[in-house]
Amino acid sequence: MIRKMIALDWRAMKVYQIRFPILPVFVFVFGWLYTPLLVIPLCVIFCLSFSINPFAVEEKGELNKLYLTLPVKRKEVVAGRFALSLILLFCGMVMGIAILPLVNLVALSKWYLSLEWYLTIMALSVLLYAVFNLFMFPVLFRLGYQKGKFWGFYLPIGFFGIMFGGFSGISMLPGNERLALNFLEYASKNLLFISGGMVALGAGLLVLSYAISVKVYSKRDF
Amino acid sequence: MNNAIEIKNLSKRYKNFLLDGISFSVPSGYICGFIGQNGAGKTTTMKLMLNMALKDSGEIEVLGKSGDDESLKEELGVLFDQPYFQEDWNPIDIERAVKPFYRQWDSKAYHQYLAKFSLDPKQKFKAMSRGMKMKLGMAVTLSHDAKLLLLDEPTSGLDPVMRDEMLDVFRDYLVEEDRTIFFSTHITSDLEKIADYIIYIQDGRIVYSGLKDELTEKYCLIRGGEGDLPQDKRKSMIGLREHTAGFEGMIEVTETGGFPPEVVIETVTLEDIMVHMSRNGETL
Repeated sequence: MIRKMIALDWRAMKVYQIRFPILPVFVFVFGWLYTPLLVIPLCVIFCLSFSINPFAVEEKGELNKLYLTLPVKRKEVVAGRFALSLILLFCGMVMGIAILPLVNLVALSKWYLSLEWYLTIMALSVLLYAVFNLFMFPVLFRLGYQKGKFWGFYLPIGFFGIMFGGFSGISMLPGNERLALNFLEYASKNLLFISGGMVALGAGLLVLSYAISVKVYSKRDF
Repeated sequence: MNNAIEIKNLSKRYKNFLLDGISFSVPSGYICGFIGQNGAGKTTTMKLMLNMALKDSGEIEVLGKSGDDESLKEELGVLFDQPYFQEDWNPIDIERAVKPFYRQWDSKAYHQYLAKFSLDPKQKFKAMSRGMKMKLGMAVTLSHDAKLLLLDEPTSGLDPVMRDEMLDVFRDYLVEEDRTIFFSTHITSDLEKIADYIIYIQDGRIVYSGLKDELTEKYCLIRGGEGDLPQDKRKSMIGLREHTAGFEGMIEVTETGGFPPEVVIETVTLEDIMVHMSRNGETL
């Protein structure tokens, strides 16, 4: 059933599919102008944004109502949309890995990463994806796209702002001046451990996001 | 007699509306008209039957299955006042989208309906007229061997010719045994033509549930001149209107004795019943 839901969601965003091939071009230009290091996370975030399109089309075409006239459980609707999003996450990773060497050919700052660093950037991308997913999907499942997009975009910005502000504040306390440097030093020496931790945390956040989404969507009236 | 639909004490509260513990049943093999004014609770009831809206309390049983059982929808054909298809889909896309969900999907029948309704399989949904959209919705609804059609205002906004065509489609659908149509509308003239059973909802409460003929035979319209309305009959009049030239209203057939011979008595239509009932909030 989840496969059917993925196919239905994909078909529903037919109007947006033409934009998908533009994503790698945009990422390539961005990586070329700024830094190739951003290529993989950008691909992942763009693919996450792309996976939100079924929410955008569902209100215009009343896709939710179509789903609920079909022999489909609400839980399966949520599972299908998460599965499509995870597939797009995978596509984003592959896209980023493929584009990064190309960007390195033309970019001013070149980054020839070891396998460990590749894994770390991918893990960081997964974590970013999971955080954005947690803030967006449950809200979109609860409120729909028009109302939900506001909170779905601003909540993570607020969250990252608080995290950054909090960390900066702690770093400024006496004795913590080297906190960030110490952390980076520790991370660079334990890349695989840090990467594994980020993936595990990301997976946990995704499970939480899915559980909340199922709960809110199952209580929604259409 | 098996019931295709059984609703018991179904309630749903919204901010400005209460569906107030309604109960009714619809026998299998009938065309059942679900009538009521706009905002009376027709669409809410249908959404609750489809689990689109969540009930506060009560029981819903459709085709012998609980309303919560999603497998039930394999056997339902659902069409609301506008089919829920994406604007950029064409009939071929629509078949690809919904076919995998129905084990009984019949592609041949779908394409036959498209041809019968003169629908171009490659025309985008957004480029179709309202009538074409409704026909497309019906083609989808009829292509998976549904045992029960749940139709919410399927003829509203259609011109008379198109409405008549839709009613023909409903008649053809019922040729096979054990098929039922539950048809919500406020266009009662459609029901005069095809319905055998009526459920009448008013302000979130069921005020009549039974055979259409029993309902229309129970009442009559009565008109008379000034002074033709006996004082003791005033209480029996439903939706009474008095004007300088006389009065008009609806009354139970059994209550027609006692009027002067000058009054005019006529049979009622469903529309007459709805109009007169709504004038003073009577229940049947």
